[in-house]
Amino acid sequence: MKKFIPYLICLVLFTVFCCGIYGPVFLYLSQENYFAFDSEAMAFVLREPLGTLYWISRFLMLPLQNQWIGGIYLAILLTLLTWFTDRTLRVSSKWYGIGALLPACILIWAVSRGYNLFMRSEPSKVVFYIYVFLLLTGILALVISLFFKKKISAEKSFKWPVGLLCPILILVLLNVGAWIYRQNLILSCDMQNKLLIADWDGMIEDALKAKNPDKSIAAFHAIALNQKGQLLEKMFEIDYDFPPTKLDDKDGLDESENFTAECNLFSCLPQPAYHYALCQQVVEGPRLRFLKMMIICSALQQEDALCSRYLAFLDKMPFQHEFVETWERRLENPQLTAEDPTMVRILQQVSFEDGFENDYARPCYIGFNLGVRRATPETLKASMAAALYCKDLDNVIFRAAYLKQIEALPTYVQEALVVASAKRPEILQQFPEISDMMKIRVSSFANEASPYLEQEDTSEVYEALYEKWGNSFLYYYYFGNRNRAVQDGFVTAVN
Amino acid sequence: MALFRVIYSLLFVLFMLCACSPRAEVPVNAQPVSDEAPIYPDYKDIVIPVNIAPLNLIAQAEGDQYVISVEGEKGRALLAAAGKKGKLQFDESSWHTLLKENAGGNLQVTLYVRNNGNWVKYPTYLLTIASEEIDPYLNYRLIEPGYELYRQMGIYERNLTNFKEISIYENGAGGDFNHCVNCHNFQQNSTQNFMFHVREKHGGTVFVLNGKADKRIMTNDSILGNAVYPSWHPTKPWIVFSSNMTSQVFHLRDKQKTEVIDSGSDLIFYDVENHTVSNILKTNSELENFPCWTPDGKSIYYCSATLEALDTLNTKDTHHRELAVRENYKDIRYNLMRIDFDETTQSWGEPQMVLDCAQRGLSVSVPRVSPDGRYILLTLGEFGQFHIWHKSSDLYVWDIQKEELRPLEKTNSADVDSYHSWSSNGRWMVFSSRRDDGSYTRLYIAYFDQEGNSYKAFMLPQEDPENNLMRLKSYNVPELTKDAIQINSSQLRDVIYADEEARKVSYK
Repeated sequence: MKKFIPYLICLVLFTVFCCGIYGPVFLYLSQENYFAFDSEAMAFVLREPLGTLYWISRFLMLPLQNQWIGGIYLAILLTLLTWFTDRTLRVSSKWYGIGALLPACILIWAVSRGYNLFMRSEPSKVVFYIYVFLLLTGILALVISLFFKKKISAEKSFKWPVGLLCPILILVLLNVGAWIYRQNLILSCDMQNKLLIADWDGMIEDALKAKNPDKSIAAFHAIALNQKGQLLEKMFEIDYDFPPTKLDDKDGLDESENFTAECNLFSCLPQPAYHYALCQQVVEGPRLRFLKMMIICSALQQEDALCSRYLAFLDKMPFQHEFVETWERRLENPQLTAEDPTMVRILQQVSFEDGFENDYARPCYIGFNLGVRRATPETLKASMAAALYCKDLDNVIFRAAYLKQIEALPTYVQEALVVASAKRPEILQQFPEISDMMKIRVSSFANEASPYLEQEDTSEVYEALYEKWGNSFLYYYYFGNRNRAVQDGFVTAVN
Repeated sequence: MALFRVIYSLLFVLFMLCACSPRAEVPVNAQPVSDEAPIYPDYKDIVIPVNIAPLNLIAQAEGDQYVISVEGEKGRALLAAAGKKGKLQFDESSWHTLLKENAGGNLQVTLYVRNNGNWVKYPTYLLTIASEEIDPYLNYRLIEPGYELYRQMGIYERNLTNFKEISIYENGAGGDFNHCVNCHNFQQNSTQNFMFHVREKHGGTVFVLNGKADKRIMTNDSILGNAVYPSWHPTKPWIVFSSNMTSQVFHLRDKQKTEVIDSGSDLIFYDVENHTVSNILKTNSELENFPCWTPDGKSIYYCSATLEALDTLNTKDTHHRELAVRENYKDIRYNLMRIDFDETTQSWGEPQMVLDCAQRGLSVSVPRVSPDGRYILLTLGEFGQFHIWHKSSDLYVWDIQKEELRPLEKTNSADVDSYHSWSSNGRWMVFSSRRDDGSYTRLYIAYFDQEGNSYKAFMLPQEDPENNLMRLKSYNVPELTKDAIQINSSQLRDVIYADEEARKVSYK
C-alpha cells in the first residue's frame, strides 16, 4: 500500500489545483466547449487541423461541466499520468512521484496561457494534451514493463519517495503563482460562472477581491451591480486602472469578446448581443456560451423559430437538456421569461429608440447609453453610469436633470457635477441639492490630488490616494482609466 | 475466457441494437386522423422534378415508430420506417425508379405514426412529378448569416439527383488563408465558363474560361470601384458587372437586422479574353445595380434608383455618401430598367424604364430573365436593393410580352424570399428563403409551368433531413448548372494564391 502514498499525495495536490485554485477556470472552460455526436453540428471543429482529435477531446472534457466532478476527473488523469511517467522512467520507489513533473508542466502551460487558454483558441487543448501524454506514457510504460519486467520486480523494499519533494514544491508554487499571476483570469471565470446562476452578490465579492481588476472583471462587476440596482452607488468600488491582457495576436489583441455580448444583453440590447455572439461563433465555432446567448437573445426578440433552431442544436450536447427545456417552456409561455428576475431587470432597461448600431460609439452597450435620449428610468441610470465611465461631463449634466426627478442624485453624480462646475459654475445653481459638504469634499480631494495630477506613475498615485478616495468619481476622473473608453461608430463591407 | 464471454455478449447486444431498426411495413389497423401530416421539411402537395433526390424528412409527431408510404399508379410502393427520432429516409435507387415510372403523374404519400402502441394514419398528400428535369447541379455559397465576419466558408456544388456535395472552393479558415469568396456566376448554366470574387487576402476575381482559371484585379481608376454583381453574356466571353460602393449597418432592434447601404453604383462591361473593362453607365446620383443579360444578348436589364442627395457629393466621398443613403434608406426605391447593346460595335443604347416600381411603393432587385426570354423573375421589397435582409421581399415575375407584373403567391412565404435563378429549361427556379426561422437562408425549388404559373416551393432535400436544422450556415446565390465543375479546388487555390500573376484589368 505504501507505494501508492506518493500518488495519493499527487492526487490531493492536483485536486486542490483543479477543484480549488483553478477550478473556476476549468469550469468556465466547459462554457467555451461545444460537443455533439452529430458531424454536421461539429463541422466547424472537424474542418480545423487535427479536427477529429479535438472532437474527441471536446467529448473528453464534458465532465468539466461540474466544478467538483471536473476537477477530480482532471486530478485523476494527472495522477495517472504521473504513475505512467514513473513506470516509463522505471524509477525506484525512492523516486516515486517524480513523474508528476510532466503533468505539472501541462498545468504550468495552461496557467501561462492565461485567457489564451480559451479565447480565440481551441478550448479542449488542455484535456487534449493530458490525453496525448497519457496515451504516450501508457504505451511506453506497457512496452517497458513487458521488456524489463525482471528488473522492476527486483526491487523489494519500499523507500520514502524523496523524489516527490520536487513536484510537491512545483505544485505548491503553481497554486500560489496561479493565484498571484492569474488572479484576474480566475476571478473573471468565477464571475462568468456565477453569472450563469445569477449570483450577483458573489460576482461583486469576486470583483472586490481583485487587486488590479482587468476589463473583464470590471464588465462583470458592472453587470452584477446593474442587476442589483447599485450601479450608480458602487461602480467605482473597484480600480479602473486596467492592466494589459496578454493575448495572442489573432487579427488584433482585443479582449472584449470575453464580455461584450453579455454587456449588450444586460443593457437590454438583445439584438447587438446576438450580433456579437453570432460573430464570435463565426470565428470561434460553436460554443456553449455563444449558443446560450443567442438562445436568450432570439427569445427576447420573439424570434421563436430561430430560438428553436439553436435549442435543437444545443440539445445535441450532453447535459444541456435542462437549459433547453427551460427555454422551450419559455417559448411556449413567454410569461415565464417575463417573471424571471434577471430578465425583468434586463427588460426594465428597454429603450424606445431604434437606429443602427453604427450610429453609436463602440462598444454598443456604452455608445448606445451615451446616445440614448428616450428611455426608462432604469436605462437612464445605466446611461448615467456610461457617462460617468466615459468622463463625459456634458452627458452627466444632461442626464442628472432627469435623474433628480426620479431619485436623489447619487454621490458619484454629485461629485461629477461639482467637478463640472469648475468650468461652468452655473451648474451648482441648476442642482441646488448638492450639499456644501460635497463641495468641501471635492475641494479637499483637489488639494490632496493636485501634486499628483501630472504624475505618470500610477502606482505612486494609487498608494497615496486610493485608500481614501478610490471609491469616488473624483479619483476615477483624474486617475482612472486613462485610455479612451469608446471608439467612433463603424462601417463594414458586404461579404 | 470469462472476459471473452463478456465482450462477446456486449458485441452481440450492440449488434442486435443496430439490427433492430423499425420494419418498413404499412400498419394494418391505423386510425385515420384529420390533422395534416406533421413533417419537416414541408413536402406536402408539391411539384417535383423527375430526377430529384429522395425527399427524406422528419416526422414531427410524438411517437416511437414511424412509417411512410409513397405510392404511384405504376410501380411498387416505396416504404421507409424510422424509430424514435422520426427520420424517414428512402432508398435512393427505388425512389428514382418510382419517379421515372410515374413521371407526369402523382405520387400519394401517407404517414403512419405509432404512439403508445397505437398507430395513426395522417391524411395522404400528393407529390406531382413534372416530367421536365431540373439541371442536376446546384451551386451555392455557405456562410453564416453573421454580418461582417467569416472564417470557414466556401462555394459548393450539390448534385440534385443524389446527396453528394463537393466544395468548388473553400477558404483556408484562418490567418493568411482567410478570405471571402462570393458572387459566383455561370455562363448559360454551364460550368465551362464561370467566375467568382475573392475578397481580402489574395483578393481578385477568378475567371474560368473553357476550363482554364485566371485571376484579375478588377479595379481601375476609370471605374467606380470593384466589380461586384455579374452577368455573363449568353454566348460571348463578356460579363456585365455592377460596380458598387456598399457597406453594412446593423439595426439595434428591427428584426431585419442588417441594411446594406449602396452609396454608389455604376455598370461596367468586361471582356474576359482581352482583360479590358469599360463603363456602361457612370453616374453620380443614379444607383445602377444587378445587371442581367437577355438570352439573345441584345440588352441587359438592371435596377436603378435615384438619390438626389448624392448629386452634390463626389464619388470618392464615401463617408458622406453613406450618411446620405443611411438617412434616406427607407425612401430609396429601385426601378427595373433596360439598356440595349449592339454586339457588332459593342456600343450601348439609352436606358429605358421597364417597370416603375417606386410608383407602386416597391423596389426591385435581382432581375433574372427566363431562358425563353419571356419572363423576368425578380424580387420586390418595400425599399432598398439587398432584399435578402428585407422581410417584405417576395418573388414576382414580369411578363415581358404582356407587360404584366405578378407575385408568385404560391411560391412566396411570409419571410424573405430572395436571390433566385432559373434552370436551363426555364421550368424550375431555385431561390433562398428565410421562411424557416427568419435568419438562416435555405434553398427552395419551385416549378414554373409553360403558362407562367408557379407552384409551392420545397426545401432542398438532404440525405439526413436533420441537416437542414443542424447546419448553422446560410445558403447564398443558388445557381443551377447542367454539368459538374470540371476544375478542382486545388487548381483554383493555386490561381488565387498566385498574387504576383494577378494583373489589373485595363480600361478600354
